[in-house]
Amino acid sequence: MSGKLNEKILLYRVQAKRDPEAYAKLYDAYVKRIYRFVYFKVSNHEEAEDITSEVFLKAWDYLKDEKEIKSFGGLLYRIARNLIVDLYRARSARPEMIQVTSEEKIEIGDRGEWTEKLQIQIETREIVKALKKLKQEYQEVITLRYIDELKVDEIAEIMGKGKIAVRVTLHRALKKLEQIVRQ
Amino acid sequence: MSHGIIRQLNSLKSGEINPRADWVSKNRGILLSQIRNTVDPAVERKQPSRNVWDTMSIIFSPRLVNHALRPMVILLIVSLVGTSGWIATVDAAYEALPGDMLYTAKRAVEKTQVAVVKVIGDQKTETKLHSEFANRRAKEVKRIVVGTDPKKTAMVTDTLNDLKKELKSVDTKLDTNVSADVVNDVRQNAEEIKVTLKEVKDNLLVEHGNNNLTQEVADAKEAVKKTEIKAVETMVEKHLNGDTSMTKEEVKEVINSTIKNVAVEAVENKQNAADAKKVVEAVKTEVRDLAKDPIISGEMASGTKALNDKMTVMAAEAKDASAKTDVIAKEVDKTVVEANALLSSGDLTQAVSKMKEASANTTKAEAITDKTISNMQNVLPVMGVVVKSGVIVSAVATSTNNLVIVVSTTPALNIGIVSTTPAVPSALAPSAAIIVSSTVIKK
Repeated sequence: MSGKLNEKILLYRVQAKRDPEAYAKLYDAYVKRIYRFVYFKVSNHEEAEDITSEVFLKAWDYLKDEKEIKSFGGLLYRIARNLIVDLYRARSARPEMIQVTSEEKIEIGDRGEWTEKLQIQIETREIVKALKKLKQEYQEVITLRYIDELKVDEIAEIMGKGKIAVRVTLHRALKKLEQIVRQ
Repeated sequence: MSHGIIRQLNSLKSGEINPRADWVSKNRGILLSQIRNTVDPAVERKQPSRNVWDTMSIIFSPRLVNHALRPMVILLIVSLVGTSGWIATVDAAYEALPGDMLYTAKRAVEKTQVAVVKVIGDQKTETKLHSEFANRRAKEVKRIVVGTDPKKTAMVTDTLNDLKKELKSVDTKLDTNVSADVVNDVRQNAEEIKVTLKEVKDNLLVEHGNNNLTQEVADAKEAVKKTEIKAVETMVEKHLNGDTSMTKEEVKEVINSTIKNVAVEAVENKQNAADAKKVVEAVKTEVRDLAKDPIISGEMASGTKALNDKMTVMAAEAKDASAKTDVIAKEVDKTVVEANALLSSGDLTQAVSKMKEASANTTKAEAITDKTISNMQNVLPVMGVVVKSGVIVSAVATSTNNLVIVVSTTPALNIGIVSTTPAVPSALAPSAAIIVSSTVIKK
């Protein structure tokens, strides 16, 4: 609750006083979540970085207009989703850009940071792979629920769905993920 | 299996899918510098004009603000002002008298209070409020009377009318289903008002030319008395009908004290009438002696003779009044004894009915005394009569004759009073060559 209130105060400072410092704090709070959200939908870290920074710039512009904000998180996810859609469109115009699988392989393999806990590393890699195979809606709901650990009503707000619909989607997404992992 | 997957998903959080730390901080710097460039100082200045509710909409959800918070805050302000009185304004307004700027605020707050409890449907508080406001009006009258406002006669009349209105509201409320203890509160207030109005009457008697006002105050006092008696009646009725907010002992005590008050009033009235009689007789003796005095001659002699005649009539009236009040006092005494006997035997209804009878008689006696004193003032153009704890000091001055007579029912208040009594301003002018006489009446 206090986190929520804190966010509201920061948001107020941004909207009423155009306080960049307050916005920086909001950035700190959300950047990882937005990045992860984006990362699952795009092919690599570079694209994720680009989109994430653009999300925050757009959100700042949006707040400038003193529009009513229900939830800052919701706003960020919405902007991110739109930007990703834009990216897909751009890609479909240039088909050669779609090289998701190969790039992904290099990406994970190249990180090389996991020298220990090899077992987990492999498992994780599998899971990420499986996640990327899910359809967008399932991917989103699983990312938000189990990686960002948001509550169902928060997810409902972000996805613009009812709570029950989110629960159902979540259940189906998890089932589907299980199937993919088992294969 | 799904638990395993969830665990794995959770572990992703700290893993490879996160942004690089250096990118996060670098991007933060870039973002900050970018957005700083967009901040327009003009926009910043424009911001404070935001409506308070808009500002709240940022902190809370707009729906909450508009549908819940806003009405709640407004209701809270209204009830704050209405029930407790808001800080400085109301504190200052509380002391305000009619004609003051803040008096309007004071009355507005009172009206809000009543409106609020009416909306809530709180009969108990509404009754208490009306009774409390009646008390306030009485205190206002008291303060106006001792004041020097040139419009005070009109102000007293208005305030007394308001007082009567409040009493009427109280009377109608007594018929509703308020509990006995509330009724008792009403009674206590009525008693207080009665005491206040008595003081008002005494103050008015000191000054001459207040006959109309005195009558108005007497009317208001009678109304209060009625309310008081009705409150006692209602209280007993409620008690007998099973209201448990007061014990039988408490109810008895209330009746007992009311009866006592009635008895005391009766004695006071009798005493006042007797004292008035003494004063008139003393003045009459003085005037008669003066009329015979050889140094008084010409116009002055005829004036004195006229006064002498008037005093004779007056003396007869005072005697009559004294006799009447004496009879009434005896009757009241008897009734009070009966009421007490009924009370100790536990017959509350009958005791109250006796108490009512005694009270009505006392009111009659009071009217007689008031009329006598008022007539005394008419006979003697300038006359002040102070009735205080059974002592009557009377200063009489006839403006035509420059005659000043001071009479006191106690030896201590002797001739010295002549120069200080407010009732004789012009009579002490140097031209007042005529006799200043004083009489001490031995009680």
